[in-house]
Amino acid sequence: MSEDPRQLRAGYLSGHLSRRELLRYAALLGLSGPALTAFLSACGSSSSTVGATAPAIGTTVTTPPAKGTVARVNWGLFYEPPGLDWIYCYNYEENTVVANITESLMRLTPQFTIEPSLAESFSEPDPLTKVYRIRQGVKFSDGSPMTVQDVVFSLRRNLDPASYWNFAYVNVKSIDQSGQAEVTIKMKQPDEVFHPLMSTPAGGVGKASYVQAKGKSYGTPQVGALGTGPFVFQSWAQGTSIVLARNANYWDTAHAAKVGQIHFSFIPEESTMTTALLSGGIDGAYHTPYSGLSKLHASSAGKLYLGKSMIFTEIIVAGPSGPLADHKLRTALLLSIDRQALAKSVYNNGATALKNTVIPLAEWGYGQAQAKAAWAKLAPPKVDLTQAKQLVDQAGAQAKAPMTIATRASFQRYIDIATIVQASASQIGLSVHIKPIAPNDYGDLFFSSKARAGIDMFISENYADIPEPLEIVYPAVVPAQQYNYNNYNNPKVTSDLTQAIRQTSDPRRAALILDAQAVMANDLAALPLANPAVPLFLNKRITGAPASFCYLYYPWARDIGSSGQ
Amino acid sequence: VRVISFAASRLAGLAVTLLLTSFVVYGALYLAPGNPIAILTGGRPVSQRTITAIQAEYGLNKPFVFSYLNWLEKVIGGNFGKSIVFRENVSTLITARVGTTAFLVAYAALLIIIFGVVLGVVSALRKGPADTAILAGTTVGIATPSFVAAIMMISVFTLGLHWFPAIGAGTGFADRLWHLTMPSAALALAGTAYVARLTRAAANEELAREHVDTARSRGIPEPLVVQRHVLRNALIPVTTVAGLTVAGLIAGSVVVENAFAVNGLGSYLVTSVEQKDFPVVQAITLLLVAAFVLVNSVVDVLYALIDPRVRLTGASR
Repeated sequence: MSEDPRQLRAGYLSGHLSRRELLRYAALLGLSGPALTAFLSACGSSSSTVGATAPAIGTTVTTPPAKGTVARVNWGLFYEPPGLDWIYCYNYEENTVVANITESLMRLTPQFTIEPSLAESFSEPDPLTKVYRIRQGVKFSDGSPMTVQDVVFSLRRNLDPASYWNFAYVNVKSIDQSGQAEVTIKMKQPDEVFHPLMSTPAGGVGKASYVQAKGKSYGTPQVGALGTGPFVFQSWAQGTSIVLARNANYWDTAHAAKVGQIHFSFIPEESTMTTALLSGGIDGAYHTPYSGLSKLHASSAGKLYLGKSMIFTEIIVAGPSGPLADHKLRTALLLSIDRQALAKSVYNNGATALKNTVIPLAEWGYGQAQAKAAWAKLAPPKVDLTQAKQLVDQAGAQAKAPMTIATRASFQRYIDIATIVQASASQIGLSVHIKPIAPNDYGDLFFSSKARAGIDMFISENYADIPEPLEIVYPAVVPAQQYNYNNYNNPKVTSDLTQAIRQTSDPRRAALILDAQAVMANDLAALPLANPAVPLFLNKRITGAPASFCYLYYPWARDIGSSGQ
Repeated sequence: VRVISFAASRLAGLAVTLLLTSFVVYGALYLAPGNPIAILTGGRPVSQRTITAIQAEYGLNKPFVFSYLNWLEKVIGGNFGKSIVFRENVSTLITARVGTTAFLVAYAALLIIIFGVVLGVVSALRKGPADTAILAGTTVGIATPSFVAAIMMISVFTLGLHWFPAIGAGTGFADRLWHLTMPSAALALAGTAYVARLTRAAANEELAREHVDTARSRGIPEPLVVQRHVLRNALIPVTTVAGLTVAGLIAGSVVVENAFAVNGLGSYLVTSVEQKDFPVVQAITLLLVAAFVLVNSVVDVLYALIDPRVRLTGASR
């Protein structure tokens, strides 16, 4: 679901060289034929050996601590953020930047725990009341103190449906100041997903008077953003760069920034980003192109980390009818797909295979021991064509009907996955048709049943914002929820998850979710594929940045400094 | 008087072209699938209420004719509106990029004209190894798409020799020149080769003409023969082709701007089309069309200057 604009571009390049008849010698830009062939052959040899020094995939959370200060760091983003107003920051790069400017009540740590940030403490006197004690002595980067009024104003901005974080507030009844340094949130119904979301921009705090004065221009290139974070917005040259400078007034003095200035450049082309990192033109980037991982890993210019991540790749069953409504065919299809080979080939050794759950083990911010034990009990992601064929035979006439998988045109990873699904399905006698969808239209599959008409399944690479599996699972498998496209309904799962979302005790909530997970592993409401890691590249002169997926919401740039080299 | 009527008719033609273009582009973008919501929210799920709110805020639910006329009315009043994605004035967004693309295209045009003509003339006048080498080189040049040239240049000059930076457009004249050398060269490669070929052919043709033989037989020194009788005549077709090639660079800049992460109009146009950012797409398209028409008009004027037989007429060729 996360749309990588860098991927969208290639498709548009072709045909842009049109000149007059006289000059018709323009090049044909295409990657379908040969690229696919190369890809398929790579699939065959996907068990190729990984060097002994290959980075660990998806377990790293930090990099060696910084040793000193650095005047300037150049950072690469794979697209230009549309704005820096935190309530509209809802995708990779805008969050990557704004995380260093606007902080939230809570903080998502590199280890995927939730710790106090602008809130000093949190309590829940009853399941419908959440109380945040606001930290005193925090200043905005302009030197003015952060007040409880700023907090109330900022949280209330999300009650407007125009806020992209509005979904976090669906169960909120009121937000009010309840003491000199205290904010109380009353809920319409218990919701344990709300509190962890306070570590995302849903819990972001800006300066009320400033945001009001700027109105709709707050967060735009000309105005920028103002927050309490370790960095201050300095300038934004439209299309070229965003510059942040060290915040001298930062309240968390123990973690004050060691970098004087951080310059963000926007580099949508995958090969250009890889080259810029290799040449040292760019010092670092998160989510570097998977296509360049082997080059970056081999480079002496710096170090590649494959960090712990909450990203998951799955095949979503698009509707309640069609061949995939048959549990046997869903199971057979998943049994035919080599998930381990897929993780290696599609993500260039930058992902691990998922077992029969869309919740990566890495996503558990609490109840890790329970989750680990439950994960061990799940069947390994193995291919079993014999069993798959038996299931297809048992399915009877349904299995003869061709199926359609939607893929986003010009997005190579999705095209690769669709090709693998098609090839795997044909091995067990199922026929899958690939339907490319215009990049802009692909997002509609998630919202509109009309867009899903005639489609049996579609590919999604999504991420959880917070280490709370309910955020992703609940809306996808509970009946009548927004993302339950195939009307999945298992009373046991529904009962477990509806209890879980009200359960304040972490171990008990984990137990309920894991019970549901065990049932869903057999039901397969969706087909889980992979847990892509976060590729992070750091030039040898810098170090300290967290390596995990926390960088979307954690003020990561404050940890960067000189490596001493 | 002739010049005034030429200019007036060209301006009228430009206005009509722009109006038609704006309608066609607006309509095409309107009919194309998708919407800016997917970009605004990163394609990640948001609540239905949020989607409705975004649609209302950006007028995405209005019928085509209504929104087109609404846009047209504003543009005639000199207001290109605000970008849907950046919530910023379109004029600001474009001003930030137009200089870079102009620099890139002018630089590439200069390379094409200088190297194209020089190589072509050398090739025509110096038979033997030089001619063969230039012929071979231009064959490769014509066949090399600019994105391939870009990749090769980056691996040689950035990763290998560390001469030029891989990304960015630079600030200030010298820095810009340094940053945009590789992009311009990549952009100019095919055009240079083409112009060189054409110059060679045209010069060869002139060299074989009777008036050249006559001039030589009258004892006019060879450099003067080449300069007055060969080059001047050969330049007529070269000017036309070079002019069109340069006009084509404006569209071709998209590819190199992306390859070198240069912040120009071309790459921004592509991004805006993806994002369905109507006001931006409209403004850039109109600007490019205007630039194209302008360059062609300049070529027509040059044509008249080089070849006295050509008269400026109202009708475009």
